[in-house]
Amino acid sequence: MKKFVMSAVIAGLALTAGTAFAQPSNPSDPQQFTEEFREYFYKRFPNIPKAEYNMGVYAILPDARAQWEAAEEFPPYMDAVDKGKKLWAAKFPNGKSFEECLGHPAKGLRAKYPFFDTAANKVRILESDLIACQKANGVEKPMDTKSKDLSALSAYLSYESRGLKVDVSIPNDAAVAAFNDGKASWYRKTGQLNLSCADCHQYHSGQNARAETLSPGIGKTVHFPVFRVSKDNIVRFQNRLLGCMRDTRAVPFPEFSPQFANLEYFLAYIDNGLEINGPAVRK
Amino acid sequence: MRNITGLVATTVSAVALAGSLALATPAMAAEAKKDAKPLTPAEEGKKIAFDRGQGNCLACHNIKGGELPGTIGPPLVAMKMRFPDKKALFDILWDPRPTRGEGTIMPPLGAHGILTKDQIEKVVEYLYTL
Ligand code: HEC
Ligand code: HEC
Repeated sequence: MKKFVMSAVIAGLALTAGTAFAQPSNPSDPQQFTEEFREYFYKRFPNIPKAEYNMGVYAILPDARAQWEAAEEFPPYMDAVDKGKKLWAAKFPNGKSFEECLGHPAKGLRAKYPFFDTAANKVRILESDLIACQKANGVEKPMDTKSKDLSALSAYLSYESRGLKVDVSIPNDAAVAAFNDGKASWYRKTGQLNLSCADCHQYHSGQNARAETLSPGIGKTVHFPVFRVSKDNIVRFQNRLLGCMRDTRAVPFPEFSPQFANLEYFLAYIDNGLEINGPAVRK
Repeated sequence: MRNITGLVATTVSAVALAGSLALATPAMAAEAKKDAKPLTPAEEGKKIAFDRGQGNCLACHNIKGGELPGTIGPPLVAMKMRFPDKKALFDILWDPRPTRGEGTIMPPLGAHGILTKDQIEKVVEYLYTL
């Protein structure tokens, strides 16, 4: 018993020592920043093949990853995907559909988002646009952030873009500003616990908070939404941001707020080139 | 990099929580105390340290006897030897930033009102038994 405790202590020390990585610089050019940001993780996790960052925490946990792959045989999110498919095909009261509203078929739509809308001068988030479509087309009770329909549509649309690669562009200076605002949110300490996203998912990624291994900062967006086995429901990306921020004992920004839209844009740009593989299964 | 955005401690507030670092309400702590023999300060300190709603130190630190410890912070061992000055240990718990830098991830337990002065003193007594 004593021996066990000691070896656990040593493991703890070894992991803690692993945090002494050089701090990257902070270029304001998104492309240059992204290269340095990725390099940080490539050095920290030399064994993760670059293309496998899309697996999130499972890229660094071989056992859990095997479980995940087993879960893929009877994927628990298929009910949501099927439901989302029906919702996508349904007509609004005025006879129009999501496809007409968004001007794009389901296939490949996820891969178009998030994007910087140069006319509206802001980042557009897929799920937020789905709600806007309902509102614009006279749906009496449009979905909200609690809606299971919204998470079902989200799951379906990810499923329909599986295998496509993330391809987020930064078209103008306002988009650079949005990216840099998202980046600021990543590094800003919040809440009573005084923690930032980077504290957990960058400087301490790979270490454990209780029994949870902290996933790295690359590949955050690609496998969403996720089916949470412990909660028996689908968690969308914006919803997860809210949960993590609340865990710092802060009042989180609302979903789809400019702050969270920019944070998603920032993280999605980091993920450029990774294969979309959502929905995924998580604890 | 860590200080690029400064320390905008926005939206500090107590809210209902869920998740791995989640903390519960003080009422739960009072509940746990019912019909207990008077505890020594060190024993009380242990409770505060282990309670997810209070210190929740196990989220980040390995502590002897604690289940599912995190590995974010250093294991809390040989504390008396490593911190012969009790005040220095208290100060780290109250607010680690002056000695460890603004970027530290150890929460400012006292400065941000997570624990009271009295609670931190008890946790220090407990840490001295490790
Ligand atoms: C106190 C530590 C902590 C902080 C601070 C934190 N997270 Fe997390 N986060 C976790 C844990 C634990 C998990 C679950 C394990 C995992 O997948 O990383 C998680 C999961 C996630 C996931 C889901 C990963 C997946 O594959 O399912 C995303 C996305 C995420 N965090 C983003 C963020 C962002 C963005 C911020 C800042 C707003 C943030 N987190 C702040 C601890 C934290
Ligand atoms: C969110 C993670 C987190 C939580 C929760 C946390 N700590 Fe820490 N703690 C750390 C980290 C990380 C360090 C290393 C700090 C540094 O050097 O920047 C640290 C350092 C310390 C140190 C100094 C140890 C040394 O060897 O230098 C002590 C003592 C300590 N913590 C005690 C506690 C106690 C007691 C609690 C609960 C009441 C607690 N911590 C809660 C993350 C945490």
